[in-house]
Amino acid sequence: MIPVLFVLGPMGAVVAMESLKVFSIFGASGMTSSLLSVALFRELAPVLVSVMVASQTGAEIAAELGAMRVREQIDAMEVMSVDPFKALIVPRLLAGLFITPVLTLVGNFTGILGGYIIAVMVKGSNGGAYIGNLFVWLNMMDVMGGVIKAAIFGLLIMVISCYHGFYAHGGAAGVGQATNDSVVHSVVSILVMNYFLTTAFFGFNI
Amino acid sequence: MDLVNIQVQGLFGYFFSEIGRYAYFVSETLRYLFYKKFYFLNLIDEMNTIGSRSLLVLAPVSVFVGMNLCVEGFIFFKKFGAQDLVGMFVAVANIRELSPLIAGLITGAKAGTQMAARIATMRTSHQVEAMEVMGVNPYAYMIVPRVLGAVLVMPFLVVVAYFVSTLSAYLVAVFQLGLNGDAFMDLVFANITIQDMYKGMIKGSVFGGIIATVSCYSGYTATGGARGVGAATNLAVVRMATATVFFNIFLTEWMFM
Repeated sequence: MIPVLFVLGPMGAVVAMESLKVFSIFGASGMTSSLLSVALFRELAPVLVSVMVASQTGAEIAAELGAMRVREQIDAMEVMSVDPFKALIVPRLLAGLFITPVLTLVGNFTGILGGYIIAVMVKGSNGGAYIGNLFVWLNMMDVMGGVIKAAIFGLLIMVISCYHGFYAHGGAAGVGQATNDSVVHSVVSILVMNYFLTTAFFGFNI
Repeated sequence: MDLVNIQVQGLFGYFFSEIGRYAYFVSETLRYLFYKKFYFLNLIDEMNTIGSRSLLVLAPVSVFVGMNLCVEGFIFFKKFGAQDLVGMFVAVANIRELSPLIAGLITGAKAGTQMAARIATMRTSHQVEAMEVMGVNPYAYMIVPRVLGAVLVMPFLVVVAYFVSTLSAYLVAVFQLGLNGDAFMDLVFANITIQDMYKGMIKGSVFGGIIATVSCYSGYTATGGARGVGAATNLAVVRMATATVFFNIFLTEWMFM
């Protein structure tokens, strides 16, 4: 949660900075926040929040499950007739599915705040115009698309990191390898999946 | 452990003492950059590791980043009926911001975590102390080659990201969105200068320095067995992602405004 806030704030600030420069060429510096909110809700917040969830929570889950596998705790569970998939995997998958969208909404808010700090307080554009233009171009489809994207990414992250942790082998070094692999594979699959989801959600009237 | 430290010092005290220790670590690294013995073979080895490992992940990821950027820009510009101008958006966003950031992110996730895990393993199994006993300076032997390697290799990874993502954006613009390919490339070349590309490479270099020092620091200060190695790896990723995005503000402000 805290890393999410720390990453999305500066990101919103940078987008505001670049777009303020471009828009002020056309004398439309009030449009900065409109661009920022569309970019945040559609792309930046789902992707960056999921990347942070992958590197924080996904790595932790891979390490945890990997340690359990290496110390044969999972085998012990099976012997006790506790289904490890039911007890270990399913709660994590559902948690990823439900929590990542919530974090995304929080991240949206932080990004808008970061943009406000740069555009209004540092660069001195009009604060009322910034707030007023926030939702000019944003429609419900953008918000819902971002949230659904985040849910899919959350599920993806959890599946990948549970897989790498569950089938880890080879002592402490194997656990480290599983952690590393889960971060890399989740980040890559988030960025690849993002293209197809963008085309599916927002690209149907091209 | 970290939780104990947070309870003793409070959250802000912990944060600032951690910043202070990191600054000390960086200054020590800079000091041993000009050490009497320079491990040149280690530098070559690290450059090879960082570059070749990250490249295999970075290239496919850049393809999809460029494609996504083009589709998103097209949808957005269509609102003004200016969908032919998408090349301008792709060029500016890609060269200035996205390629350096993605290159930093991928290098951090791939090479940075590996550095942190490796150094943390050496620290927790007391190999660093053994090195000191043998009269080998651990900063000069382990840290300096990694940091210098990342700083030297990252600009080239950024260049690869430029070309791959611009090419994939071109392919999407022509084959999926049905734009004129020549007009697209004209807009791309009209809106970037060679200075922009140099500045993006410098950004990548700075990100490389941040990533390498942060992950080496997280590994170097790891405590407590196999669990500590995992915790150090995890902390390294989170810290470097936060630091990279944060310094991006200042770099953008300084270079492009």
